Amino acid sequence: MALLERSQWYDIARSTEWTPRYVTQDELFPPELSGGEGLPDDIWASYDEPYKISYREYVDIQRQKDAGAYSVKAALERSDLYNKADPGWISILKEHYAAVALVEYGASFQESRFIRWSKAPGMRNMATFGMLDEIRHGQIQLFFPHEYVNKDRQFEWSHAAMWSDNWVALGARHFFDDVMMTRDALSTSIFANFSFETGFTNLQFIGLSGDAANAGDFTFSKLIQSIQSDEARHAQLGTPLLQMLIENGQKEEAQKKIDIAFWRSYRLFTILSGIPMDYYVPLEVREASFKEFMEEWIVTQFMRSLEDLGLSKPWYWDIFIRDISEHHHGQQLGTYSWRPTLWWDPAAGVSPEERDWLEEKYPGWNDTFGKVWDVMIDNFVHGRTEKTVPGTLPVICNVSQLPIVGTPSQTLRDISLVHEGRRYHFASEVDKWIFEDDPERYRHHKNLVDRFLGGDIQPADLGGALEYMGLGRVGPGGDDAHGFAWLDSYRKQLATTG
Amino acid sequence: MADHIIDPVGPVLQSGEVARAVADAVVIDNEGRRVDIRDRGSYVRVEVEGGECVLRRSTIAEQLGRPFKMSELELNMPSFVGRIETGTDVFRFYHTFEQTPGAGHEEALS
Repeated sequence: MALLERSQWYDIARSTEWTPRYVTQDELFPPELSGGEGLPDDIWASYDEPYKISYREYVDIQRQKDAGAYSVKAALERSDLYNKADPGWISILKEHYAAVALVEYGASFQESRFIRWSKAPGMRNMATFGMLDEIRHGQIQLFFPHEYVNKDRQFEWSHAAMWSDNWVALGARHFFDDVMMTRDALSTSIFANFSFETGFTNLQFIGLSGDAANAGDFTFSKLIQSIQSDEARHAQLGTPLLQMLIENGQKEEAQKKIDIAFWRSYRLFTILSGIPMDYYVPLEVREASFKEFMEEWIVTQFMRSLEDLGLSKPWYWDIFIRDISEHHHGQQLGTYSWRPTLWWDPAAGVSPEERDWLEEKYPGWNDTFGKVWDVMIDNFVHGRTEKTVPGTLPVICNVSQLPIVGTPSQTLRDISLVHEGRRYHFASEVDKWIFEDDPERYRHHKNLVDRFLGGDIQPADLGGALEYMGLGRVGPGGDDAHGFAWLDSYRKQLATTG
Repeated sequence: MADHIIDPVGPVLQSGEVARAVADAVVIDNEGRRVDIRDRGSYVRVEVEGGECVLRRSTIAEQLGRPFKMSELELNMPSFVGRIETGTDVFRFYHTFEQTPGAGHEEALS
C-alpha cells in the first residue's frame, strides 16, 4: 500500500484542538504559563510551523543521526585523542560538556512546557520532537565525555558542574533559568528558540566543529554538528509567534524580548565560545577568531533573520559591535587569573606567536590587554607566581553573574544602582537596562560575591570559597593547561636580554 | 567584501557527499541566480542570491545517483539562512523582505 505524502494528511493530524466545557480557557491555559495575552483567540489554530516532520520521519532520521555520531566515537576511541591532542583542546571539551550537557536536559523541560501550555496546536506538536531532541542532547553529551573520566577527573564536572555553586555554573544557571525555565511558553520560545538557538548555539556547535576537525577531534566535530541539526529544526518554533505578535500590534514587546535574550546569550557565549576560540584552540588549527565567527553567524546571519521579520537591531547595537572585540579578552584575563576556581585547566594562549595572531585579529590588543599579560608574565618568569593570582574579589554583575571586565584604563567601570536599599552592580549599560526593566525578576538573586560578603560562605577565605564552589570536593580545580611551558620563550628572551 | 552576494539564502551543510550533491543541485534548481559555495572546513555554506533557494528531491537524487528523501537533508544540515518551507519533494529557503544592495551588515565585516 502506498503511503500518503506528508502534506496530504499533516494538517488533519496536527489539529488536536477542542473546546473545553468543564473549565475555562484561562484555566486550561493560564496566561502566566501560556503567554500571548492580547492576541485573538482564533489566532492559535493558524500557527504554521515552518519546519515540518512526521513521527515516522523523525524516528528514521534521529536513528541515523545517533548511528553516525556513536559510530564515529566507537571507531576513534582507540586513537587516544586524550593523550595526543593539545591540552588546550582537552580543556575546551571539559568546559563544553560541563556547561552544556545538563542544560540540554533542562531544555527538554522547556519543550515539555510548550507541549502542555502552548495555545498553538502546531507548536505543541513540534515541541514534542523538540523535547525528544533535548533528551538526546543531554544523554549523548554525558555519554561522550564519560570515556575520559578514568583519564582525568576534571571530566566528572561534565555531570556535576550544574549541580554545584561554582561561579561559572551560577552564571550559566541564572541565564538559562531566566530565558528557558521561568517565562510563559510564548516568551520562552522567543527567548530560547529564536534568540538563543537560531542565533548563538550556531557559534559553538558549528563554528567550533571546524576547529575540532582541524584539531583531529572528529568525534566532537561530528557530535556537535549532529546536535545542531536538531536545533536547526526545533529552533523554528519561535518564528511564527514573532509574526503573530508583530501582526497584532505587539512589535515592541517582541523586540524587547529579543533584545534581552540576545544580550544575555552573547555575554554567556563570551565565556563558552569566546575564550576557547581565541585562547585555547591550538594556534595552527584555528579556523577563525571569535569575532569573525560572531560576524558570520550573528552580525550577518541572525540579524538578517530579524530584519526579515520587520524587526530592528537591538538598541545597543553600537555597544555590542565594540564589545565583541573586547569583553571576552577581559574574561580570559579574569578566568586565567582565577584559575583555581575553574573546573578545567585554562590555556593562557599568549605565547609570542599567539600574541601576534591576537594583534592581527584585534588591532591594539598588545597595547591594552597585552600590557596586563606583560605584568603577569614578568611575575611568572621571576618566580613570583603568587602575584599572578588575585588577592581580592572581583565585582560580579547582578544580571550576567559574571565578573565585570573591560579594556584596562579605557572602559573598565562599575555601573550600579540602588534598588530598595540594596546596591546592584552591572557589567554594562545593557545589563542595567535589563535589570531596571524587571527588577522583581532579578533583585533577589545573590551572586557569588554577594554570598561571600553576606557570610554565606565560611570560612570567608579563598579555601572556603573553593570548598563552597565544589573545587577539590566535586572535582579538581584548574591550573595552567600546559604546565606553564608557554613561558619558556619568555624566559629565553629574558636570559638573552638580561 | 565588495563582491559579496546580495541577500543570500540557503542551507549550511556538513561537509561530505550530500553537501556536494546539494551544492550541485542548487545550481541546477536555481538557474539564473548566482550561487556561491563557501567551504568553511567542516561545513559548507550554499548561498543563492536574491532571497530564494529552491531544492528539489529529484535533482539531489540525480546528483547522488541514489534515491533521496528530503527528510534526509536534516542529517547533514546544522543550520540554514532564511526561512524554510519543508515539502516532501521540495524545500525552499526564502526571505520575505527585500534586501537592497549595501543594506547588509558589511560595515561590521570590513
